[in-house]
Amino acid sequence: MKFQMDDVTVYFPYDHIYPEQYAYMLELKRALDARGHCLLEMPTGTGKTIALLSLITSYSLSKPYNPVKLIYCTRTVHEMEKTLAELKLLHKYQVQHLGKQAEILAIGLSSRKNLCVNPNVLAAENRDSVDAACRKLTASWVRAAAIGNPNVPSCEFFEQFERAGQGIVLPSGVYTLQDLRAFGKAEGWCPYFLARRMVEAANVVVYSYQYLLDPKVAGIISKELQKESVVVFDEAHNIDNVCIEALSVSVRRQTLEGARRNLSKMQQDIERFKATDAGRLRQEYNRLVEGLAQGGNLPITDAWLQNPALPDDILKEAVPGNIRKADHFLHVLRRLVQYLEGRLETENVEKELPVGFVNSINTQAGIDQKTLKFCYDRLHSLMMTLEITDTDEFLHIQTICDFATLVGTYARGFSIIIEPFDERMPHIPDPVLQLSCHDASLAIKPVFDRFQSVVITSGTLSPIDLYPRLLNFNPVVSRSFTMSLTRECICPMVLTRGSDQLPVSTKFDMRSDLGVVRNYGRLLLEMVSVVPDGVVCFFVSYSYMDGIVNSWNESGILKEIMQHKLVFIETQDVVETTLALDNYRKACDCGRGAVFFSVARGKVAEGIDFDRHYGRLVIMYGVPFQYTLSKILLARLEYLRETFQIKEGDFLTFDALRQAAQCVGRVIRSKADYGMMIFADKRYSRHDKRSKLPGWILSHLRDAHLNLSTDMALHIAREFLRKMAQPYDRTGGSSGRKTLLSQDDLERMGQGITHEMLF
Amino acid sequence: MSKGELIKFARYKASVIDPGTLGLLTITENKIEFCADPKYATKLFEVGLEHIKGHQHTKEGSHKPAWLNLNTDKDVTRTRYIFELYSYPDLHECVEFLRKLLLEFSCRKVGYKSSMIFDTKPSRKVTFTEEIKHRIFALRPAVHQAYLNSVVPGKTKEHDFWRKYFNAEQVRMYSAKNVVAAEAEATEDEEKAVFLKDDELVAREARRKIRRVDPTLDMVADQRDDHTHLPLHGIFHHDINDEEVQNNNQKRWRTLRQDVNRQGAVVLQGIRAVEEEFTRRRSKQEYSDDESSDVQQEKRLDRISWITEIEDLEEPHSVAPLCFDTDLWDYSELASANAGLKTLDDSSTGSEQNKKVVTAQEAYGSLRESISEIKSIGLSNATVGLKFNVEDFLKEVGKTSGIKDRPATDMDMLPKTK
Repeated sequence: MKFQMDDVTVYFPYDHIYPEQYAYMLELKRALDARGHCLLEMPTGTGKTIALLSLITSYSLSKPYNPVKLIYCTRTVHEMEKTLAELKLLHKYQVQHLGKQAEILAIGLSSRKNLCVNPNVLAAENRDSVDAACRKLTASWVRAAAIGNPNVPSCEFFEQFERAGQGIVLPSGVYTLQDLRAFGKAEGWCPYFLARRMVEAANVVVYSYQYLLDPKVAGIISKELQKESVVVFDEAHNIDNVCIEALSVSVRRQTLEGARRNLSKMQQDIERFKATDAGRLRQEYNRLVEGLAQGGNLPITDAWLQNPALPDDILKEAVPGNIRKADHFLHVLRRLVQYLEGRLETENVEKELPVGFVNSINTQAGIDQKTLKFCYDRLHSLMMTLEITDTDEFLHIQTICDFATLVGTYARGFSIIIEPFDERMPHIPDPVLQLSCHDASLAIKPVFDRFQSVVITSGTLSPIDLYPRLLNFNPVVSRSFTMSLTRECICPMVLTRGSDQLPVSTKFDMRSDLGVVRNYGRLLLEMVSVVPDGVVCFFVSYSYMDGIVNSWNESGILKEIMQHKLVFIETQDVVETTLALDNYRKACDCGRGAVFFSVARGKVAEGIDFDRHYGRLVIMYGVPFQYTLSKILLARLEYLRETFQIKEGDFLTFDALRQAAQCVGRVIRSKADYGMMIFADKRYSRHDKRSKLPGWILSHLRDAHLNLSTDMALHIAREFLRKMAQPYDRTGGSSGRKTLLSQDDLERMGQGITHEMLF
Repeated sequence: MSKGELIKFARYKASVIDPGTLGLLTITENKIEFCADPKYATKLFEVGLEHIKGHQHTKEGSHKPAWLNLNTDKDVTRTRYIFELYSYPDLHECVEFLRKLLLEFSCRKVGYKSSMIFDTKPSRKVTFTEEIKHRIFALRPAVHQAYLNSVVPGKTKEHDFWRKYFNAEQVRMYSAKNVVAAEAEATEDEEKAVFLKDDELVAREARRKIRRVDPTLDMVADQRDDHTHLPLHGIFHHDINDEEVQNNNQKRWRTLRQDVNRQGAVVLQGIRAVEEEFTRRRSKQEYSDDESSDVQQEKRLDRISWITEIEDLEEPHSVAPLCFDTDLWDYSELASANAGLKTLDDSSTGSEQNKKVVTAQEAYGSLRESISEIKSIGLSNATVGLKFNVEDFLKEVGKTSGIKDRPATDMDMLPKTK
């Protein structure tokens, strides 16, 4: 369908549209018109992605003189693929209606690991080394050597790509990672570098959060993106965590040992160069005297990760004199490593602010703040000079220099925490020195400053006023949308008691209570006997899940559950979990039915959909609070209270409930779908907890479902499933309010409907 | 030798003292054949696999010739067949092949239980049967491998092998509490280590399978996609990062979680496939990656686009949906019509009705004709004829029950093929 939204003709690849999608587009358009940032919460299962893509591409099409570029950030590669698949559908439709002028170039960008087609590089056993294997074939000095000596191996795909030069064009279209690989193979061009080069020209770029938020990566990938871009962060409920992760770094014993090895290796290299090619080191010294460490434009293949500090905070000055000479620099690093080794020898937990830490480095190791700050750039320069290609081997010293640069750059929003052992295993010494960032607004600030519009959207952004505070920005639009329902297709329930009427909870004092464990087990057992197809269970942590599964195993409940459905479990091993999920889906497809045990905050909860028959019921066991004794969390809470006046309790509850909402929200994908959600913990019945759930879940949570026991929940489940089996009117005509709009409806109604969709 | 067939020279002995007839023993997917000399053309006898109740064989080093003894049920002429093979390796090959066939045979009838891991635990007081043995093999290819390496050539006694296995299982069940002791046991005995630790074969299998997984749940692609993965960047989590370290320490302890997931895979796959994979692995035939990758990839992409579409925003597809909201009355009429047909058939009273039945049969005949026609000439033109016949047939059925006012209600619901 196609419809008019003020001055923009929107092309939407379906015959109908949900009213909330229309309302969502209207708000989004307002933000684009105002060239401001926005925050939009819309329930899962209402076609957020297609609404976004449709509006932004149509917006761009309607302004051919000044088209906006879309930078779409996803959390995972499979979400990237899904987004590109939706875009393909849309693009096909737009080209059908508009012809050539609607043609765009859209690409997905990922790391070498997912894009490389060179069989020799891919053969590398270790996952890390695709990057290193690539560099060994493509670094500028390797290629230079290969010209003179045919025995030096090089990458044919990259060479052909280089030979094609600037004339390279990717025909318009939508390219998933798979499409890029296929195209690269066919043309004989390296898909990775092709995609990198196309980032600038493409109308739509889809990549992962880090490529924009992590300064180390953004510095090389996203440097050239124009201001007239719309940046979308999809599924952004955890964006604050991604931001603080991007600026945090830890040091362990292994890191320091590795760094020492790296240093002696570099020392050897320096000696070798002194003997054979002293001019090289001299050249580097001169360059450093003249100016910046990063000597101008490096060839695309040489670009190593960028400075870990944010671009605005990097000093544009010459490298300090005391580390210009390679020998001197290594000496400084050795002293730094020695100092850190000393700090790791502690027996107590220590917490310090960067200022104090930098001072004590200065007094004890004689390294001043400015020198620390330049560590990263200086190391980078040295590695180029020494022509180091096996970058994998030098990750340790890189970590140390990242740490030094960050600690030398930031005085606020960070703290240094040294823990001699894991709180949960105090008998095993495992010291860690952590520089953790507490302020999510730091990493995202350059993005807000640089781009015209930033859209932050998810199914779970409640309470929506907290995000502008956490990320420190002023959205021009901040909205939460409800879901227009044709029928009550979601059924949230709060289960507070087990079948024996005793309360259930994962609260600390009740966690190991066998009665609770049994009640939780009985709940699942009863449910698997009435719910068809897929059932998903989320637990609060891996250790809790392990414990509970083991005790269900011992008491025989697990076996009883298996009489009804196959069981699959998430593990920390990604390969195994992926296969378990694949088998889970197979079991649901073939009608055998299955249960999947998973962990809130885990990889599955982050990005796997359990829609349709893959998830008819999801049980959230407990409230997924963070591990509250974690020193890092405590430090962050303190910072949030002092800087943003956010109370500890509020933040913890907010954080736990967004995870819970995220878990249960995975069961529904469209309005034709249906699913039940059980919050199995007595604490959910309290208003202060529950009220933090997104509005679209709360509005379906009836008062009668707030305090259930297992038998009552079972009864409700039976009723619900019976109701869902009845035929219904898709357009919602019977209830008086349309839930599916056609083109005619839109033309007739104008914009009156939108107000109904807002909370 | 084809995949489902094993041929060996052997001597068939009617009894233990019988010197025997030289001939060719052929074991195929569903029978055992013995052809006697000369030229091995005369078939002496043939026994269906379903009649074989069990088999024994002589042990290597027992100074007895390599004998294979098959026990059969009463449905065949003999209850016992003895074959003397040329050598022990031949015998082992036969025994292993037969074992696999018999197992497959029994599993064609019954699938696996969803709770099969519990039947293979040492705590269960159940008798150790062939069935359980095969379940263990299916769940743990590494154990099967070890079995083939040690028990089959006679290095270890079968009894000892299983005792050690269950012993190891016991250790493993409590290993969470006593890792050190378990570790010690594992280092002292190589075979035990196989029982205790990760199944290498399963892990290798996993790496291969991962390439075919649905892209919408491929979490492996996400792993370390942060451009260039730097260890220890980001917030440090003890439990997660430790796992990373452990991963590098080659083998890990097998956990309940792994067992449960493996069980799910095996149950879904069914025994047949498991055995096939095993044969393939043994014959060192690796799947070539390119072989199926294009087709697989296409399937993956089809799937992703299917998943992407939001179904209820589309106009209903041209295919009519299954209609359940028609009158129940219609349904009961149709049912009674069928019932009527049946009674008529039984009693065959009333010449007029009888004729109708014949017409229905005629219609059926013409339907069959059309089908064979399609088979011979292809699908180009035959549809029309076929359609008419079906309609006629159904109309006839409707008439038989005497409903004249709405003769073909059910046909109206079918999509029109135009």
